[in-house]
Amino acid sequence: MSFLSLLIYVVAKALHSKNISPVSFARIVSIVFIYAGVLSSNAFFVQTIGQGIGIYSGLFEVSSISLFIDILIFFIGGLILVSWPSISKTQLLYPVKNNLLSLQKNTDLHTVKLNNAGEYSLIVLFSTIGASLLISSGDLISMYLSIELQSFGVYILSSIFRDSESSTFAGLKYFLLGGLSSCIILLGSVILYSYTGLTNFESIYSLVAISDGELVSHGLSLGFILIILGFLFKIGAAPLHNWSPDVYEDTPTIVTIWLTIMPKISIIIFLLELFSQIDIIGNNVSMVEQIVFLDTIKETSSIFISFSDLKEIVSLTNNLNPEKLIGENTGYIVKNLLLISSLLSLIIGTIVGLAQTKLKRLLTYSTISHVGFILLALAINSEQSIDSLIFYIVQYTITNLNTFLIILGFGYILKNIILIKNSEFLALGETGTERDIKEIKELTGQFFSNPLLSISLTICLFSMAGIPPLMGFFGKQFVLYSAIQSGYYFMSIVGIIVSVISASYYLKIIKVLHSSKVEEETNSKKSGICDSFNHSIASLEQLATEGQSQSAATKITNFHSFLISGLTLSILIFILKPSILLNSTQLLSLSLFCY
Amino acid sequence: MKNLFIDILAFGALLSSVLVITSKNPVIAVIFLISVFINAAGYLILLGIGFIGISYIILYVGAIAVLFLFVIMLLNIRLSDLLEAGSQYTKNIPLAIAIGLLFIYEIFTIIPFRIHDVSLISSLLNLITNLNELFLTSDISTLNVVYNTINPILADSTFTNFTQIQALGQSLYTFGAFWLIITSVILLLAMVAPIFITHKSNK
Repeated sequence: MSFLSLLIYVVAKALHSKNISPVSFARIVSIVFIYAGVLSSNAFFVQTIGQGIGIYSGLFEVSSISLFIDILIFFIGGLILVSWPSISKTQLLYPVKNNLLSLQKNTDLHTVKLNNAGEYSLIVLFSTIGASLLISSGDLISMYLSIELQSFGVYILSSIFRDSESSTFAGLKYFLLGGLSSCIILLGSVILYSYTGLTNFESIYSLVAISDGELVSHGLSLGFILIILGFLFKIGAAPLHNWSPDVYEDTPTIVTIWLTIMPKISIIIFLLELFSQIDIIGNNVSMVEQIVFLDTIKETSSIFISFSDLKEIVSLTNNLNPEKLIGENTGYIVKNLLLISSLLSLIIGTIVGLAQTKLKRLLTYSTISHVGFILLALAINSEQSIDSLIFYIVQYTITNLNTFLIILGFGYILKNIILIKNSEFLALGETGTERDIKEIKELTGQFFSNPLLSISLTICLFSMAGIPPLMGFFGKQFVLYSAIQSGYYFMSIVGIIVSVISASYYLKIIKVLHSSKVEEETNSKKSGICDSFNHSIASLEQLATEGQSQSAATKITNFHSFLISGLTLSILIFILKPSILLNSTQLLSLSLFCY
Repeated sequence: MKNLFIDILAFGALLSSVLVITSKNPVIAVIFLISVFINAAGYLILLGIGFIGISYIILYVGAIAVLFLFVIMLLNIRLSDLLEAGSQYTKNIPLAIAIGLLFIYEIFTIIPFRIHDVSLISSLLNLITNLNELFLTSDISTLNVVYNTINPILADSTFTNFTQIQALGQSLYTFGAFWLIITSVILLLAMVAPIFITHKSNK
């Protein structure tokens, strides 16, 4: 599996040296991704990977979960890359209609855009290698190296549009705060090492399982807490979420897709492996110890028949318990940490999200509340909740990807029209962020001009809000069900309330999307843009009559639209045939617990 | 005695790292940065990790810090601008102190703190026990010997002290070969990325 990442990398380097047109470069990289995904799905058939085997002298560990998530990451990465340079082809057709001046400018714009595409896909490669290594890392040092590889890629990605000020700002902010969180992770791993003298996770687990010194226990829990804290910082969970809305809003949408999906998947899966191991060991140890204690109690009770003595012994064992059981202690603290973080991110993600007017900021807050759900499932850590966790991640990835793809499509359509209409706009040059949709208002009345696109956006948002027949509903339902089953009533009530509240802001977008333009005409600021919309629609019709192909008119490539429709359908149709995904997630969670 | 030196060096590193942040003039800050590196390198060498300490001096002091110094001198930053920008951030100092104290408190409640760990005090105790030994010839001094032999840090350092570079190379190129590859990938990314960020597209 790591071999493939190397393979991808070599391919990337070979391509980079040649001067292939960057569009095809992005396409090739996405094909490479999909090929890598197929290869790692091939690795499923290797019989020895049941519980997980260590490769590269135990520094990395391949298990079926890591393979599954690898496939997910590679495929999603490939799909994201496809959405990249969609204007290029049609842009060349366009200027024939416009005057010669705009032709030149258009080609200018074209080249700039394309250059970025090449860089984007190369850095995405690096970042994905980091992600897939992180998932399967089985050692403190390889964990740190791969998290650095992944996040360096992401920092650079967010500042890749060097001409736009906001994107550079976002990149710098992301870099500084990410560096801080890496420091915390490093501190945690150093504490782990200084207390145990081990870097391999397996050996640390086995040390935890057999030793019972108070010193080791404290150091271990401190180290694990710091590591998990750093990771929570990286995924932007609640008390540490302050950087994420700024960064996500300021970066161009195509980067934001990557930022919201990729690092989160890998880090969460890594946390899952770490946390479940700690917890399993803790449970085992506590079981063994309790059995031992019960035996001693029985013996003593048979010797001393008096009841008061027994009571004393029980109280004594109760006193002894929390100090003696290291693994349980650590697991307990970490579990509480995760629960608190999930509670806060659920609440903050929804309440603060209500007040947002900018589209991407709002989606960021919705991301935070999704992270809250994921962390809830992680903290419970029963077989069912892990099942729901994996399902939730898959569902979240698909829905989020689709939403951002649609927004990107809207961005291409709207802004392109404006750009072509007011050709002086082009003189400003392309900074990458100009094509993005910033405010929710910009989507006003899109239902009438782009009905299919807005319907699919509506479906996505409904799915995020958790309306029953869609995929998102099942994700939330499974998480809450497992929470109730394990007795976390308060958390599940909060989850339900919060998802109802969050539905209101998704509905706000949907309302804006479907309301007609007439209402907005009172707004003086909008009316200008609305006029230009009308003009552009007219021009679109004109173009359509001139026999332009549909893809040229909407300026979304075929594959992009195909992707959107496919994802939307998968969200819709999931209810009809849920067994494939559900069975696979269940198998994965069982593979983690029963061996 | 060695422990005392180590303490002094650690303290010097901490002090100069604080001075790096607080000093107003950037050139002086960089000079303090160099002093941080030198202190840290001395600390490492005294701990018995000679190779890494020396490479610290060669790499950080010799190359990076001097490069910083050059760049800062070339940039010719006006001090007044820096001071204005700095005053914005000094408002938050009480908050920072509060959070830092909380963090330190947390860590010290979790990590058990023993008086023997501070070598200034323990060396004083050593002195007293030595004096005791001189005057009374009691058995107390043996306790310290036991402590020193059991102390894992000392054992660690004596173990790694011989064939250091060999040991490093041995583990790096056989056991941790994949780490080396990942590191090289990271380095490659770090080389490629500035080119992407700074390189102007030819219009």
